[in-house]
Amino acid sequence: MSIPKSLGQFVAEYEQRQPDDVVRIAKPINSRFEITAIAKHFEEQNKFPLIVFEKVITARGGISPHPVVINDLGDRHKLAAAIGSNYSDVALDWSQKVEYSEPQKPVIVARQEAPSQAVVTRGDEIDLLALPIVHHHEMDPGHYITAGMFTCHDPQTWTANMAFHRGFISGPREIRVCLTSGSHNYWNLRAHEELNREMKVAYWIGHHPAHIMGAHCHMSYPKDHYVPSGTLAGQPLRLVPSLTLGDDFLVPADAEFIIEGVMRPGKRDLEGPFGEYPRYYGPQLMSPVMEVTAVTHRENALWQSFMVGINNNYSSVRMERDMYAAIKKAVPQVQRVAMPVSGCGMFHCYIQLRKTHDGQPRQAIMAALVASEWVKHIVVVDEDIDVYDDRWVLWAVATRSQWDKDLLVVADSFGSQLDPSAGRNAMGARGGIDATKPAPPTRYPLRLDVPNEVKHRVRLKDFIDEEILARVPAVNRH
Amino acid sequence: MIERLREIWFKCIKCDRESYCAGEFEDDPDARVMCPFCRTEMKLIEARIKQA
Repeated sequence: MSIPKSLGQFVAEYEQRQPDDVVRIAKPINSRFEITAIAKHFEEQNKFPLIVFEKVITARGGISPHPVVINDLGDRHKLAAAIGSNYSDVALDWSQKVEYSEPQKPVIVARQEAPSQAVVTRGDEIDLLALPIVHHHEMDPGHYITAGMFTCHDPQTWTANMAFHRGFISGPREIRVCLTSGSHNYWNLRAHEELNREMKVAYWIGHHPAHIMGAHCHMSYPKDHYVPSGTLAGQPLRLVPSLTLGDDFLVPADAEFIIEGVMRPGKRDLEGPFGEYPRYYGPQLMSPVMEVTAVTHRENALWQSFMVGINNNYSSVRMERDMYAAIKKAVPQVQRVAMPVSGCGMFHCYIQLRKTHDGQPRQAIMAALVASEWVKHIVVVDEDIDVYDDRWVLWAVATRSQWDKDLLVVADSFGSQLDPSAGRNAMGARGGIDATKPAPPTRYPLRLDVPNEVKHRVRLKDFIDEEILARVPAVNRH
Repeated sequence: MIERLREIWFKCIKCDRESYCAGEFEDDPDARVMCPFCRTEMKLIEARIKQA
């Protein structure tokens, strides 16, 4: 097998290929709000470099030996780099590589071959508050795991399920994990509780983005996540038996950190509010409690954190992949689907269509509404509209739609619990707008342009000094 | 279907700062909440802010 992929390897390779898009901060920085402040300042400039914070002050006040990495998953460019794709095609490639590449079944390695178990702490030695876990936003009650792959098993089939679930560090050896009631991990917990059994659980934090993206595919339940993880990465995911959860509980051998624990039946405690992807705080909940039994990690491990509520590109690309597949089944003329960050990666859906019939846009809108309850504003546009640029989508709405003819609204529809504009029981109105030109053979006014030959021949640098070009300010904000 | 508030606002009995919990907390008359700022725990019934 080729060298096992890891987060550290990805950071090093990305830094070599795109040195301008990696920032290393050597000055000590507090895990409480200061890392988020840096990320927000960059966001204001529409910049999302991969940042390595080399000296992070923990909740205990000391400087952690573990650097913190952010934005390796939060940006479309990095996700594309992780799977050998590009900005526009990353969602489609993510989907197609998982579906059509040769499946890569995981391999099990011995403990001495597992970097993720190089350093072990158990029992009273464990102190989560000494790790560089980020306290993201002002009304979060404390430090939260955000990029942790929470893993547990269906008790009947022992199939492993995993997904990102936020975890509140409520004590040195306690994590309150937000398992939403619709999630497969919650179903596993309920299945254990119905048997009055504790559920063995683990977080794995920090891995090569390709392994994480593969593991985070939407699967039917119960279905193994380790195979798509290896398939997308192009190499089997190496697994190792856990330290405290039994040899049949396998964890990634090349992750940065593994946190093992158990959840006792019926045990819930207060968790949240937490700053979530819509850029608002989701409310406080009663969430399941994880009692930590072991923390293991690599030598020189990196702590990975998702900057939730900042540029939700990871979820947007993931949703884009799922939405494209669903809409394409209903309307084969769909070319591309984009889930822009202006809609938090979930609420807006732009569908690009090679339109041949006037009924197709509404068909696409209906398919999108059914495919995900989170999607609430759909805009269907023609092939000439760049769906990755809000300006052009809104231009299409401005010049190719009429409210009384082109709007489809479904009232009293189940939406996202975290949408602050939704009503009681997360009910709200969802719909779409047809911002396409009439289908051929009907004619429509022509868009402005110059001849292609002239556009290709006349380049800016042939007429303007490159130094002057570099100084020209960036585009308007709207 | 039971109609639930999306969130229930409360004011910390110790530090006076406001926050909110999920609507489901209304189902439990003994529900507790935690101030996210000072981590004080209190009964929701003591801290709930009446909304119009």
